[in-house]
Amino acid sequence: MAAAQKGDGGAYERLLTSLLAPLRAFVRRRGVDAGEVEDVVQEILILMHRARHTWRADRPFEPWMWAIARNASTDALRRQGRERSRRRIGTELPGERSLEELASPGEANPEALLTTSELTPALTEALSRLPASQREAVELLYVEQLSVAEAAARAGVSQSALKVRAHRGSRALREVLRGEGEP
Amino acid sequence: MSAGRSSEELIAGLSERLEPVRPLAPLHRQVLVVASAWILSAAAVALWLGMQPLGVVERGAVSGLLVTGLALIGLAGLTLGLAARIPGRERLALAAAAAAAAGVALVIGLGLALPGSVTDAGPLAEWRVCFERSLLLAIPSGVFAVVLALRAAPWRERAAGLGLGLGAMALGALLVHLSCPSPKPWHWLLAHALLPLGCGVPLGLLAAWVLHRLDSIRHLGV
Repeated sequence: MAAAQKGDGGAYERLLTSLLAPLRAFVRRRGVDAGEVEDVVQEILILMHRARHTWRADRPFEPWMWAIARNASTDALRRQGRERSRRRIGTELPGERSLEELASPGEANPEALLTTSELTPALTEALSRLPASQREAVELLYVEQLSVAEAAARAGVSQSALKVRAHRGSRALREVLRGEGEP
Repeated sequence: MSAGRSSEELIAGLSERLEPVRPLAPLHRQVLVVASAWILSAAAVALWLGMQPLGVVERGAVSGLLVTGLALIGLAGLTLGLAARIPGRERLALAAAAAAAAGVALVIGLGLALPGSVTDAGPLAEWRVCFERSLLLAIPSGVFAVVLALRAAPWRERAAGLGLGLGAMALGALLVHLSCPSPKPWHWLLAHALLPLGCGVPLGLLAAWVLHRLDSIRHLGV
């Protein structure tokens, strides 16, 4: 991890790959639905990536890693519970789950909705209702899966501006899908 | 997520774009930074209003216990706010939460045990001045603490925000208590503890919202 903090991508890849099996076993033991285990493992990896600067070489690695794994799997279990109760009362909106996740750091990555499958007609319609700058940012980051730097270069704006546009676009998209009017 | 790509592909993607990061400062150093901001505020108060640390203790047990309660909530709240954002420091965060709760219980217990009623606190104008000063003096340590929390892991915004809000307000109120010449215990309790701490909760929720929004923006596309 110390090498990874210095930017050594090879060391980082080896470390994360070596953690896959124990993380999968941990998530299964926590009672996450079998179909969601891989999703939760990926959430843990993303959270570890985002928080990698919080590990310090003078402290052990494992408690740090398991704390992240526990937190992400607890979030996943809560989400499962919410989804089950929503399904029970039949109020789930198409695409709502993933858009809820857009606003929740530590939960699933926003890429999920826009990249894992074909865009649904509802999502295409919702995207078309966003202001052009926000739509472009959302499409570059999530549909085309460019990095922030690449997306910012393509849009001709700073990285911060692109992030703000994408954030606003995600929020507006959620509102449109929830039927709360114009973005 | 897994329908789109495998975990191995995700790891390859994260490793490919890996940028060096500066490790977060150790927790004790973060607490020292916030404490330094508080000490600077204390110096400003000493120059502006004058401090009477010995006088506070001479005013009796209620004053001494209030100082203890506020100091406990301040230190424990800020520690909770900072530790909650660091993976692997959950035990410390829990211990700090328990200490902050003990401080709140002490202040509430003082209120329940104090003879007389809230009308003994004096005119509204007096409370307002002390309350507004608490709010003002909470800003330096609160802002430093939120900036440090923002540098840490993007999670547990609510626990962190509430800890920081209560802690910063308690430290601000402590400075007000150390400089206020009022001899009235109900004034101390109301204007130096209950109102500032009550205000610390919505401020903490506001801090949590700020952390949540800035975390969301900072990690878009990662």
